[in-house]
Amino acid sequence: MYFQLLANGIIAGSTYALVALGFAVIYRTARFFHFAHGAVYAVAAYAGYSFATDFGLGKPVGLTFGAVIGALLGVLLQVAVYAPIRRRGGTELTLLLASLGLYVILQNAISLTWGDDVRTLRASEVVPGHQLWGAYFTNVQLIIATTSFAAMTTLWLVLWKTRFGKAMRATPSNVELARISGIRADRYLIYAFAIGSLLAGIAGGLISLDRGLSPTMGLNALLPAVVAVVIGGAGSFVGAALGGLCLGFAETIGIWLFSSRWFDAVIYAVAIGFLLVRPHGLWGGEPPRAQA
Amino acid sequence: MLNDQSLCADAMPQRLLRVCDLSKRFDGTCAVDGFSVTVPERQVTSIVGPNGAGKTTLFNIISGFLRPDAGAVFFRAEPLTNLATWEIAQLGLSRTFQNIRIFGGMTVLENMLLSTENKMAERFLHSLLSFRSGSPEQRRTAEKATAILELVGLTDKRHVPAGDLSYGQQKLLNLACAVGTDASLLLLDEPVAGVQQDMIRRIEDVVRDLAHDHGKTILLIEHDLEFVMRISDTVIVMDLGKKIFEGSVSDMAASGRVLEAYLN
Amino acid sequence: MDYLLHILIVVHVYIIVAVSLNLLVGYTGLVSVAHAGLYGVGAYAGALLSTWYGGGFAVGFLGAIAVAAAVGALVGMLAVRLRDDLLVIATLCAQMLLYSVFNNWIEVTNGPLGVAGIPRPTLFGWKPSSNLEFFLLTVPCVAIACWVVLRLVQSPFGRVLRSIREDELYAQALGKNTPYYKVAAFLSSAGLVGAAGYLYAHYVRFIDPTSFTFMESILMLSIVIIGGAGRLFGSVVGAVILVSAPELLRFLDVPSGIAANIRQVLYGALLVLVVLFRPLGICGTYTLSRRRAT
Repeated sequence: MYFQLLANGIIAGSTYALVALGFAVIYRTARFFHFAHGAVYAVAAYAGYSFATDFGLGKPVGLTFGAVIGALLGVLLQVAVYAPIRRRGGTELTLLLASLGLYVILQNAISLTWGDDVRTLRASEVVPGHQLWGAYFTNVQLIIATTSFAAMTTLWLVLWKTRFGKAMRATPSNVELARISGIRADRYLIYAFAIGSLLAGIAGGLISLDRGLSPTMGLNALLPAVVAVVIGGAGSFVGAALGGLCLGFAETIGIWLFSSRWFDAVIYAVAIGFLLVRPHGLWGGEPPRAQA
Repeated sequence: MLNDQSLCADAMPQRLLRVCDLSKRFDGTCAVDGFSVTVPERQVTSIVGPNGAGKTTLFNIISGFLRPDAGAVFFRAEPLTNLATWEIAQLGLSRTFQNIRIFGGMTVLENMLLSTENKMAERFLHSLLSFRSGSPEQRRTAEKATAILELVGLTDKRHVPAGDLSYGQQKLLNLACAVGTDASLLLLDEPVAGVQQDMIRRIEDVVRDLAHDHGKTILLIEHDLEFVMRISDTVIVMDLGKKIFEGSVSDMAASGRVLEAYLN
Repeated sequence: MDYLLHILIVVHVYIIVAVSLNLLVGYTGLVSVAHAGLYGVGAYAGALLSTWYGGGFAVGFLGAIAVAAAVGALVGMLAVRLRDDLLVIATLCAQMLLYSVFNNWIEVTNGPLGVAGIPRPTLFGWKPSSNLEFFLLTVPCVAIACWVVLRLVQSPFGRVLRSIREDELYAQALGKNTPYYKVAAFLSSAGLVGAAGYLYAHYVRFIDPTSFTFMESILMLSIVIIGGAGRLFGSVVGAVILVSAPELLRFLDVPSGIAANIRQVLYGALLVLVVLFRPLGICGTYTLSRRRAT
C-alpha cells in the first residue's frame, strides 16, 4: 500500500517538480515571478497535441515539438516584452504585472484557438499496467516519471558539470549591474528562459498523456510551482525540485488520509506561513528581499 | 570623575540620550565596538571620523533601524532596543539620512504637514468622519508647518514637489521635517555634505538656533571639519567603531587625534 | 434600454471595485491580487444574510461590508511584513485560500452549486425589481463609495498612506505607525469592495465561486492600472471604458463565449501595453515603475 502511495507521489510530484524547476531557473536569473510560465506550459501542451494528432506526427515527436515551441515562446516573451520593460526602468513588480497580463492573453488565446473543451491524448484502449513491490502503475505513468527524472538529471548535469552551466549559475543577481558590464547578462536571460520554458513544455507534454488538456491547465500547474518555489526557496534549484516533489507527495498522502477538499487551502496557508516566517524558503540561500 | 559606564549603571532620568557599551558586528567586522556616550543636552555634539568608522551604524542603532549585538540605548531612561523605529520617533527622537530620504512625489508643504500633523487627525476614523477642516487643531498644524518653512527659508517652494528641489534645498527640508516632529533630540547624518556654501551657512544658522534658542539637543555626523568646528559645543571622534576622543572644539584642535584617525 | 441599464449597473459595481483597489494600489502602493476574493466575501456574506435571515438592505449591506472589512484586515497583516512582489505572491495565496473556502465550505456557501434565489433587497419597503430601479439603487452607492475614498485620500490619513507609498522607512522615521496604516488601508479597501459584492449578488441573484477567481483579481488590477493609479478619476474612467467596451462585441454578433475570451485578451493586452509604454495609465499620477526606496 505504501509503495502505491510512493509511486503515485513520485508521479504527481515529478511533473510539479519540472514546472517548479523551470520557474526557478528563470527566477534565478531574471529575478522576478514570471507568471506567464504557466501559459507557456499550456501552449506547449496544446501545440504538442496538435502536432501529434492534427499533423499526425504521433505522440513522441509531436510532444517534443510542443516542448520546443514552449521554449521558443518563453524566449519570445523575454525578448519582446520583458527586456523592453527592463530598458524602460521596470521593477520586479512591473515585470510581474506584465507577466500576469501575458498569462491572461495566452490562456484566452488557447481558448480561442482550440476551444474550451477538454482534449485528451490518452490511449483509448485500456492497457494492462505493471506491478512493482505491490505498487500498480501504467506505462504512461512510467514514461512520465522517467522522463521527468531524466530531464532533471540532464539539467543538473548541464548546470553543475559544464562551463556554460557554471556561468549561468554565476550570473550576477543584479541584472542591471551585469548589463552595464556587458551584453552577456541579456544572453543569459535568454538562455534561462529557453531552458526554463523547455522544462515547462516537457512537463506540459507529459501531463497531457495522463490527464486532459484544458485552457486553465496553466494555472493548475503554475500555482503549485509558485508554492513549491516559495517553500523550497526561490533562488534554489534543489529547493524548487524538492518543493515540487514534496507537494506531489503531500497531495497524494493528503487525499488518502483526509478528505481532499481542504488540501488546497492548507497548502496555501502553509505557503503564507513560509512567506511570513522564512521568505527565502527552506533551501534558498539569498536574504529576504524588500521586507519591512 | 564620572565616566559613561557609571552613568549607565544608575538611573538618572534627566539624561536625554545615553548610549551604553554598544556593539554591532557585520560579517566579522566590528562596526560599532563598545561605544558609550552621554549626549549633553541643549547643545550641538558632532561625531567625526573616517569613512567606515561606524558613525551611521551608530545612528541606525539609536533610531531603531538596526538591533545591536550588545549594549543599550536609553532615551530619558527608556530603553530603546526593543522599540520599532516609529515608536522611537514618537518618543521625541528624530533623524535625517545620509542619502536624502524625502517624499518626492508630494509637495514641500505636504512633507512638512506629515511631520507636524497631530497624531489624532491622522487616524482612520477621525479623518473619515471629521468635518471640521477648519478646526483649531488643523489650523495650528498648518501654522506650525508654515512657520518652520519660513524658518528654513522654503516658504516660496511650498507647493513644489519635493523631488524637484535642489539637493541643498532637500537637505534643508529634511532638517525642517525633523524639527517639525517636535523631537527633543535630532540626529543629523551629514547635514551639509554635498551642499553649496551659501546653503551651508543657512543650515548652520538653523542648527545653531535649534540648540541655543529652542533647546533642542543635536547630535550630528559630518566630514566638513570647518563646519564642525564652527558649530559644535562638543566633538566626538570615532574610528573603527570606538570612541577615541570626546571634548570641546579647542581640546580637539589641541590634541592631534582627529588628524590621526583620518590619516590612518 | 434595459440592456443599457444593465451595462450601467455593472459599470457602477466595477467603479466601486476599482476605486477601492486604487486606494490600496495607487495611493498606498500595495499591490494585491486578493481583491476578487474579498469581493466574493462581501457577495457571499450579503447573499447569505438575505437568503438565511431575509434581511433587508441595511443589514445585508452593512453586514457584507463588515465581514469583508474584517477579512481584508487579516489579509492586510500580510502587508506588514511583505512588500512589492512578495506581497503579490502572498495575496495570491490568500486569494486561492478564499476561493477554496467558497468552493469547499459546502455547509455555508453551497460550494460549486452556488447560492441561488438571492432576493432583491428591501429598503424602507421598496424592493427594486426592474433594472431601472436597481440602477437607481446603485447610483447613491457609487456616490457614497467615491465620497468615502475621496475623503480618505484627501485627509491626513490619506497623506500618510501616500507617504508609505513614497518611502515607508522614512515615514517610520517620522513616527508613522506604518503597520496600522497598511492594515487600515486593506480594511477600508475590503469593506468597499464587499459593498460592491453585495450589489453584484443582489443584482444577478445567483453567485458561485467562478466569479471570484484569481483571474478576476488580475482583471480588477488591470482596470486600476490601465485607468491610472493614484487618481480616483482614473479608476472611474478605467471602469467605464473597460466594462462597456467589451459589450460592443455583442452588437457585432460575436458569440458570448468568444466575447468573454476577447474581453479578457483586451484587459491582458492593455495591461502589458500600459506597463510597457504608459505606466501612468490613462490618467494616473502614480507609476509602479519607479524604484521604491528600500
